[in-house]
Amino acid sequence: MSVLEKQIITEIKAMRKAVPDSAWKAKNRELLYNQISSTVNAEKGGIKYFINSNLFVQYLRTIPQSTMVAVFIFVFLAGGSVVSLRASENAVPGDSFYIAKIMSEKTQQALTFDEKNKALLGLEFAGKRVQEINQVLAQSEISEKNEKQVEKLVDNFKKEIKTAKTRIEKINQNKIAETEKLAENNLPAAEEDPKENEAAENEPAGGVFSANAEKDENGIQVYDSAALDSSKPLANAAADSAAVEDTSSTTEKIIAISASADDPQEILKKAGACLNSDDIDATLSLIDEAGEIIEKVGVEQAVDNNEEGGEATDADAVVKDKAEEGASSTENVQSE
Amino acid sequence: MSSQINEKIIYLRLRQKDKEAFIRAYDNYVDDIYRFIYFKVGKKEDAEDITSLVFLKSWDYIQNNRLSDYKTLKSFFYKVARNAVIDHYRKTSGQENLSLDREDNVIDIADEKADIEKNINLQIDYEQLLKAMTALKSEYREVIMLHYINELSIKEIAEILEKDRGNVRVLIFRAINALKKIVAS
Repeated sequence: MSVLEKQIITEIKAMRKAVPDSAWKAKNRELLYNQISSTVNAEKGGIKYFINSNLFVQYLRTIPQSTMVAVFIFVFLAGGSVVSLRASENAVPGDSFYIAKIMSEKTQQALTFDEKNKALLGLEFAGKRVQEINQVLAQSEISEKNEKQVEKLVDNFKKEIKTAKTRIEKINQNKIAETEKLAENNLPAAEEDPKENEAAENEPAGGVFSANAEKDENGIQVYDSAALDSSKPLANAAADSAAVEDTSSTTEKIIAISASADDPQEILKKAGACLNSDDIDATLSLIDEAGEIIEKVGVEQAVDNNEEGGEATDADAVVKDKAEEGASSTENVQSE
Repeated sequence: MSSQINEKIIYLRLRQKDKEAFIRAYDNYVDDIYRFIYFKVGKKEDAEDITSLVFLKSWDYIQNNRLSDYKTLKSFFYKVARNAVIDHYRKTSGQENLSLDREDNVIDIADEKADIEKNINLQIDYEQLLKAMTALKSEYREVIMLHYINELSIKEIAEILEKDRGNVRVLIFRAINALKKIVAS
């Protein structure tokens, strides 16, 4: 009889092949989307709201005990407990804590639902990459391991800002679409951020101008902070990043740019501020700027020669050349 | 495992009435819900209509914060679907009809059947099985469909039918036996 039973079950399972008509499915999806879009979403999502609401407590109660245990073990193993997280804050590639640091970053981003906040986090992480580059370079021995680390970090940095940029552009497009829609319905424009007015007063008019203003500031800043001689011509090159010409060279090594490397972080912080005040253009151009500076870090002549500014500038151009190649090959970065 | 995490994330976002998450939930569940409804009502148009209704209703529930009544997304959608089918029957006052429409049969089970017959020497044929299922008690039929066609776990079925797991296991066992008896006779 069990053979019969198996056959029955097989036959029944064959009925699984039933699927809805794909045309109908798509049409229905559209209909549904329109229907739900008309219901105004009063409450904003986001992990902060969620944690503060009663839902969170209720949710905690619904999590089975076994899952809780698994989560705690995971957290413990990842070294992600609050105390050791601080220790991992200073981790660089090669440290065992670095993996934990990256994982916690990614988790944080995954749990952030608001696109804007995600982009802000992305900028923050990019800034951290800069910090890590500094730390690695600060290590007295310039070895092959360090080179690889810096390469990796530069890569990660580029990825972060690329993701952040894509997100920001997406937000921008969504905002434009939303404002258009609302304009159609004769409703007041989408939430005006009160910060926006404030920021507009503080910054000179126009996104482009503000980016330049920052640049000058940074130029001065770099001059004040005494560092290796090589950092000065490099900083100058950074200020005129847009005008650097392409030349060709083939050698690759690391240079120490210590003080001037602070600039990208400052720039990223300002980009974050611009994003908060919804000044999309300024944010994007600031990000680009920071990216250009970092790209110069990756390539240069032999370490011995890093005192000479001339060679530094040549190599910088090479880096920028390479970096632009990489950046221009467009990829679709999935944000989520 | 990751799909469970995805489901939980979507569930949490739906608790916050996230529209994007709802559309994603639609994409994930529309096939299953449609199949579930189709095998209960037997007609393609009815199944399509009821499926649309189910998703609209569930969005309503979400807007009214009723999602918290349900622990998981799956149980939520299936319960809404189940209730929608019951309402449909109350209105049409018809019997649960398992027959597949011959005329507008979208489902290409014929091919599948041919494949199966090639591989296994069937002692029963498809039509026979269909008739047997119709003759089955509706409770048995439902639990067989949920378990074998919709591929829900015992735990999930228990939640949807509001019974306990042992109960569900026994039901499935008895249902298969009953089906065997009908087919064998």
